[in-house]
Amino acid sequence: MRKQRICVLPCSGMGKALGSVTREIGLIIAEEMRELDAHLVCPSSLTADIGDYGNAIKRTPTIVIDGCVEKCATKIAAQNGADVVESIFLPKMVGKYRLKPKGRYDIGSEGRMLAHRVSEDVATVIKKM
Amino acid sequence: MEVAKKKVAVMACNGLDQILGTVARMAAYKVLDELRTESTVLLCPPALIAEVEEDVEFVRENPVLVIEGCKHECGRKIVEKFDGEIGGIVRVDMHAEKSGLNPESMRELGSEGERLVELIAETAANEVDRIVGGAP
Repeated sequence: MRKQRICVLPCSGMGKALGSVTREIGLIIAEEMRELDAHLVCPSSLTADIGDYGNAIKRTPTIVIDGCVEKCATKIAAQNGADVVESIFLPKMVGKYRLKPKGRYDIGSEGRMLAHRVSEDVATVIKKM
Repeated sequence: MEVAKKKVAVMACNGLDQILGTVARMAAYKVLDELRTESTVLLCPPALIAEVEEDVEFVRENPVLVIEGCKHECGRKIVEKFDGEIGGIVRVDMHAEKSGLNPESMRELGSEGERLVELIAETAANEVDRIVGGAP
C-alpha cells in the first residue's frame, strides 16, 4: 500500500455531539481535501485489525482529534504506537469559533460550520509539515 | 425488593471507512433516543477501546446488541476483547442488499439511506426486545 503523508485519527465518539463533529472533520479531510494526502483512520477497524490501519499509524505521523475530556483518540493512538504530531481538542475549538453543534444525531449548521473551520486548521498544520 | 430490569448495551460498528458504518451509527441513535429509550444504554466504541470505565462496565454488566456495517464485524470483535456477551448482531449490509436501499454518501445518507436507517433501527429494536425477553 502507498504510504500517505499523514494519518488523521478522529475519536468519532457517539455519546456527545462533539464526537459527531470529529467524525465530520475526518470525512471532510478525506473527501474534500484529497490534496492533503491524509489517511483517515477508523478507530474500530484499527482495533479489530481490519485493513492496513495498524501499519499506517505506526509508520506515519498522526493528528488526533478528540471530542471530549476522555481524549479517546489520543489514548487509541498511544495504544497503537502512533507518533502524534498534533492534537486537536474540540471543546477548545467551540470556544475559539463560538460555534455549538446541535446534537449527536444531527450536528446542525453550526456543527457543520465548526467542522469546516477545524478541517481548515488541520489542513494548515499538514501543509506546514 | 425491586429487581433492576436488564438493559441491552447497543454498540454500532461506527465505521469511518464505509458508508454502512454511518447507517449503523444513525440506527443506534434511533434505538437509544426514540425506540427503546428505557431498555438500552449506548456503548461508545472509541470510549470502550480507550477503556473508559463507564463503557467497560456497560459491556461487562449487560448483553450487547451490535449493529455491524459489514462482514468484518468490527463491533463484535471489540466487544469480545472486553469479554462482553453478544446478545445479538444486526448486519446493515445484509439488510441493504435485501431491501435494495442505497445510501448516497458518508455525510449525506439521502432518502434511501434514511429509510435504511429506519429499517435497521426497527430490526435492532426488535432484537432488544428479544434479548430482554419480552415486549417493550
